[in-house]
Amino acid sequence: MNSKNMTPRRQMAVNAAIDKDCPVCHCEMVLPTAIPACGHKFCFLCLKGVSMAHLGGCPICRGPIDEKIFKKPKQNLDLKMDMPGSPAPSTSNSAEKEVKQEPVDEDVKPDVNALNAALNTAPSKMYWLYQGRHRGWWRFDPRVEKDIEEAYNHRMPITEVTICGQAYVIDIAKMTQYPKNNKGAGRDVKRVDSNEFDTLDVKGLAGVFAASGGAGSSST
Amino acid sequence: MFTLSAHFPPVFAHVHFCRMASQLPRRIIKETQRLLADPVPGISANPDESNARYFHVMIAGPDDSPFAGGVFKLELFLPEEYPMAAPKVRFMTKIYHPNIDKLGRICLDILKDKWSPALQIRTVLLSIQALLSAPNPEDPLATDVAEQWKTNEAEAIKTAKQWTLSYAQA
Repeated sequence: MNSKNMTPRRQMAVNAAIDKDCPVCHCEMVLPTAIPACGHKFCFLCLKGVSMAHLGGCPICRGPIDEKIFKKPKQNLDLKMDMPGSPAPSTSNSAEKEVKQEPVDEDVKPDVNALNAALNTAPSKMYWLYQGRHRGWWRFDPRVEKDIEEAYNHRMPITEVTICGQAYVIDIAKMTQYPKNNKGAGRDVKRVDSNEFDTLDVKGLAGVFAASGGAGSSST
Repeated sequence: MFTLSAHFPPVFAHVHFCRMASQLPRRIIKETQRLLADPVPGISANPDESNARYFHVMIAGPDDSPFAGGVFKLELFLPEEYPMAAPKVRFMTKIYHPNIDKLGRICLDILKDKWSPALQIRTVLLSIQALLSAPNPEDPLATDVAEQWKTNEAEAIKTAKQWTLSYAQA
């Protein structure tokens, strides 16, 4: 398609479509974060992983990455946000009410489904949290959360996820997680429904503080 | 401005893939699907049946090079850190080239200090294909080959053609 023939609006739409996928994970961006100097955007965790791996700056243009963006990062985010993908990710949160993700595997949890059917409610979405270093809880990146939930539904006692380019072990049987290469640095994890989520001090998502719209306090 | 991301074509949104068994990162699954569905001309890359991080690669010698008519086998491995670390690539077929040594190791900056996670299997293989078209004896890995390439290019090209005929026939 010739870009000259496009209306500005159309051009913007095309750029947005190209923009949506993170150049590092090739998936729709979670917590899109721009490098201040060059403006190239990545998932927050992907960019943090790039920075931690010392790969020589921005993956696109090799410009400098200001490490300050990883210190107590804060974004306007819906703490209960869904995976990007199905509905368009909303920048002004709150507008988007919780959308049902894929139903829980019916073969594995017939009792829960039956119960839910009896209560005339859809199976409730579950959230995975990990313990903050000092206090409170963080919610996992929704994509990682989905992988853990999948493992849980398959009754796997243990699963592995990659966060910031590092392998982490999620011990579902013991409800802890630790970096694969450092079993000592364990933290508790929790699987909660929406109601329990609201009773907990959830600071943010994947290390990014919720500036607003979240449950629990959002201050440091 | 040239950006790598502008060259990423749309991904296949509708292909279902079970990740449970393998725990392969989505990116590797997506790259593999695209390599198989939309291969680069002159290059094939197929994942090993028992290890989805190991690829069997074939590169056809470019027409404009002494490697024309040859088919070169390579192995490509995605380490656990990929894409935070570069793929490991090696020629399995013997080749007379100043930037490829006896063990098939390749001297290519993007496989070493110039790796970026915005690069991918596809772009790496394209770069290797380009290296066959443009040997660079100023940055040699096989020093004897590079020396020959600099002092007597005609002779070097002749040898490269002979090796292609001897070792790189499919």
